[in-house]
Parts: sequence; structure tokens; C-alpha cells
Amino acid sequence: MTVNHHLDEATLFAFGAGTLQFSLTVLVKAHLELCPKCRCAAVAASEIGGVLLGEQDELAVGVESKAAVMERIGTATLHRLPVRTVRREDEMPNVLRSLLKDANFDSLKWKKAGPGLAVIKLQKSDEEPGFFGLLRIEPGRKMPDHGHGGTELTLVLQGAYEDAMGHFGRGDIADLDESDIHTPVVTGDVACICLVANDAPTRFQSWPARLVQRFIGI
Amino acid sequence: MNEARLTNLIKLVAQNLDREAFGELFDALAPRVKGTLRKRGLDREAAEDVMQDVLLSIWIKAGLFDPARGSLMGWVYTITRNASIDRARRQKPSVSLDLIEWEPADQSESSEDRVLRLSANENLKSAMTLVPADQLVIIRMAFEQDLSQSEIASRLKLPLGTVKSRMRLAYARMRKCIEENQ
Repeated sequence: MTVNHHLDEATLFAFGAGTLQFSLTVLVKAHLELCPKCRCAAVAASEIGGVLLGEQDELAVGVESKAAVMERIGTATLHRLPVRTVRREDEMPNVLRSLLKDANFDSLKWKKAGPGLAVIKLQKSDEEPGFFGLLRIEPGRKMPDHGHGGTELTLVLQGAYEDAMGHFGRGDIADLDESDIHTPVVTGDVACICLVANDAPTRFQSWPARLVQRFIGI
Repeated sequence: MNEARLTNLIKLVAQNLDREAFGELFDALAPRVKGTLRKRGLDREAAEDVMQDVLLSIWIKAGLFDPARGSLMGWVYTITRNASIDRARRQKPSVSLDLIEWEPADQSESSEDRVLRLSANENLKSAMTLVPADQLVIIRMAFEQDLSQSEIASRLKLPLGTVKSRMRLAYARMRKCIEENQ
């Protein structure tokens, strides 16, 4: 698997600072599991935080606080093995698997949302705006023309689609903002499964699509 | 305390479960971790709690730290950031965000990627002094005050696109500086 579409540097920057909303954070994490290049870039963004941490004003920490931690380390279980990275082509990223409590796309409860389109909504954090979930689009189908109210991240987990920005296969991420309008078409002979999160409602161009939107909440 | 000393201490913790070395790390890191958490908006009690969790995580994960992947301060920052996000959504069905950013080097990475992962904290410090003031303000608002892109845009009365492009510029400038300093 070669990843060709990466995160926008402004998104990596916000992720590094920890200021993306929860759904977008999960999307970035899932992409990082599949993309070594962005993983390095994310470490670089954390380095900025490291420099600022080094310059941070020191706040007094009491002796009892240190004693409490020293006691806790006596009984802590150590992590000596890193989290296993995704290796198999059909494997779900760890962050998504832990959210779904399932590792298999086929056994999930997909909800039909239109011809050739099924959806699973994922739980967001608090009053977080926008859509967060999985879309499964059948081969040859296209999503209606749409733009975005804010940031939208789409990560391909299975299959592929194409739009004016190119071909998106497993691991590729589309990092779009309000200026981008696109019409993704599923290519190949398997359904395309994408993890999608945005921070404002999708803007469909046509009225039938807007009508469907009310029911499926994208 | 300098990075080399800190890195040596974490190695002692990882290899020997050296409590004394950990005690020294605690003294060096805990006050700054607590300061960072307070700045991110946690109240006194929450900052104290989360600071303790962060320091405990450092003990637990010491064996995962790899100096070839980045600085100790960057690693500690990542743990602190993830802990503060997890705290904010403590009541929710939880998923740990503390996954994967630090697993070992991957054979498939290009040499260009490796240059970046070797970025030393010292290089970034000097890079930061060259970032123009309008970009530095945004770095601090995001990394220190935990403000989102749109919150920064509204505070500075700038279009969202301008905030994003300044983030890109700041990030690119620092990357370039790191690479030139290798």
C-alpha cells in the first residue's frame, strides 16, 4: 500500500497542538497508522510542543504529590511492547477498532442511506458539530456534488474512489475545507469504505441530495 | 536540565527500573507539565491529577521512548497533550488517544522522513526564534492555550484561511530549519 494523499500541514499543526475536535483527531490517528510519512510529520509537530514545554513556567509540586506517584509506580504494569501497527491490507486501524469494539467491517450494523450507500454513525464528543462515521459506497456509485462548511477529512479504508483531486485508495486521506467542492465516484469492483469526519454540515449542491441529508444526517 | 541528561535518565528508568533516576526526572518535568496543563485551562486540582497521570505514564512507557525518533521533551509533550484531551472527555465512551505515534522506525520510510524524525529539540528552539511574530502568536495560541483554528481566527479577527496558511508557513519554516541544521 502506498499512500499518495496526505494531511494538510495546518491540520497536522492543529493535531500536534491537540486542538482538533475529537472526531477529526480520531481520523488523523487512523491515517497516521497507515501513513509513515505523516507519522514523521506528526512527531515533528509534537517537537514544537516539546520546545514550549521546556520553556514553560514551573509550578510548585508538593512533596506529597511526588510521594503519591512514587508509590503508584511500584504497582504499575509496564508497557514494554509498542502497539502493533496495521500491517494486513484489510486490517482496521487500532483507533477505529477500539471505538467500534469490532474488527470486521462486514459484521457492523450498516444503515441503508440511499441507493448504494450505507452509513454507520460514530459517537462524537459532547456537542461537537458535524458528521462522524463510516460510509460504504457500492462500486460505480457516486456521491452527489458537495462542498463543506468547514474542515472535512475522509480516509479510505477499503476500495477506492476518484474525484477531481485524483485517485484515493486505502490509507489516502482527503483533507478538504470550505473552498473545495467534489463528486467522488467509486472505482474498482469492491465497495469503498471511508471514515469521514467534519466540523460543519456537508453542503450538497442538488435539492434531492439535501433532502436525503435530513434523514441520514451527513 | 538539558536534553542529554534527561535522555540518560529515561534510559536508566527503561533499562533498570531505576527509581532514583525517575525521581530526578519527576523533579525536572512535573512542574513544567503542571504549568502546561494549567495554561491549557485545567483547574488547579485537575492539573495536579493529570500531571500525576502523565508522570506515571512516563514510568510505564519509558521502554517505548526512542531518542532517534525525536526529543524527550517532544515525547513528554505528546503524553501531556493526550492526557489532557482524555481528561476533557472522561465521561465519554473512551478510546485511548495514546496510540502509535511512537512505535519503532519503519523500514518503508524514506531517508527524507528520517531526517525529520531525527529533529533535535535544540534545532527547533533556534528555528522558533526565526518565526515571524504573526506566526509565533498562532503557535502559542494553539500549543499553549489549546485554541482551535476557528477560535484563533475569531480572537485575531482573521479569516480561517489566513490562520491555516500561517500555520502551514510556521510549520514549513521550522521543518526547513531543522533540515538545514542536520
